[in-house]
Amino acid sequence: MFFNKKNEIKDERVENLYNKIYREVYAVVIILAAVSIIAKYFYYGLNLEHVVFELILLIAVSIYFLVRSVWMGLYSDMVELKDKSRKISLPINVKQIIIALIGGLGISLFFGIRSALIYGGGGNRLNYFLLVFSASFLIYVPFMVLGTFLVHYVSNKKSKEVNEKNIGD
Amino acid sequence: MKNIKMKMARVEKDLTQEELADRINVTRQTISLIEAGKYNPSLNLCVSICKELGKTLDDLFWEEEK
Repeated sequence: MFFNKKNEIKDERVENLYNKIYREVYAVVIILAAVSIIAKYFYYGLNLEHVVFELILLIAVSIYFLVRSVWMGLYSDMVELKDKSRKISLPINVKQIIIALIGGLGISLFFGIRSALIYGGGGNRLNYFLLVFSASFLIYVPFMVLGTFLVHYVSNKKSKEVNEKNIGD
Repeated sequence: MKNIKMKMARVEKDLTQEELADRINVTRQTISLIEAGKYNPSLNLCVSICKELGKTLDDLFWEEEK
C-alpha cells in the first residue's frame, strides 16, 4: 500500500534531467576511482591489493556499460553517429585500434622506464629499458589491438542484430 | 522561440498551466518551459497537449517561416 507506484506520474523533462544527473554521477565515480588508484600508487607503490576495489569498480562498470549498450542495440547506433560526426576522417574501429596501439606503447614505456630505474645500474639502464620495453611492446600491443578489434567487431555485430530484430517485431 | 499559440489555446480553454499539466500528467514547470520556448517536448507530449486543447499539431507547434 505504501509502496504502490501505480499512480506515479512520469514527466519526460524531469526524467531526462534525472538521467543527466545520473550520467554525471557515473562520471564522478569513475574519476574518483581513477584518482584513488593514482594516489594509492604514489603512496603505496605498485601494489595491486590496495587498488583491487577500484579496479573491480572500473572494470565492472565498463563491462556493464558495454553489455547493456549492445543488448539495447545502442552500440551500433553510437558507432554510426560517431562515424558521421567525426572530425578526423577515420572510421571508429581504426581510431580504437590507434588508441589501443598508443595505450600499449604507453604501458611498454612505463614498464621499460620503471625497470631501468629500479634494476638498471652501472650504465645498464638503457639495456634494461630496451629489453623490457621491447618485450612489453610485443606482449601488450598485439593483445590490446586484437582485443579492441574483436570486442568492437562482436559488439557492433550483435548490436546490429538486436536492432534488426527490434525493427522486425 | 516562445509558443504563443499554445498559450492562447490554453487560455481559450480557460485552463491554468497547472490544470493543463495535471490533465496530461506532467509538471507545471514543463508546461511553462514549453510555452516559453525553452523546452522541446517529444512528439508524444505534443500530441497529448493538442488532444487536450482540441487543436492540431500544426496549430500549436508549426513554426511559421520568417
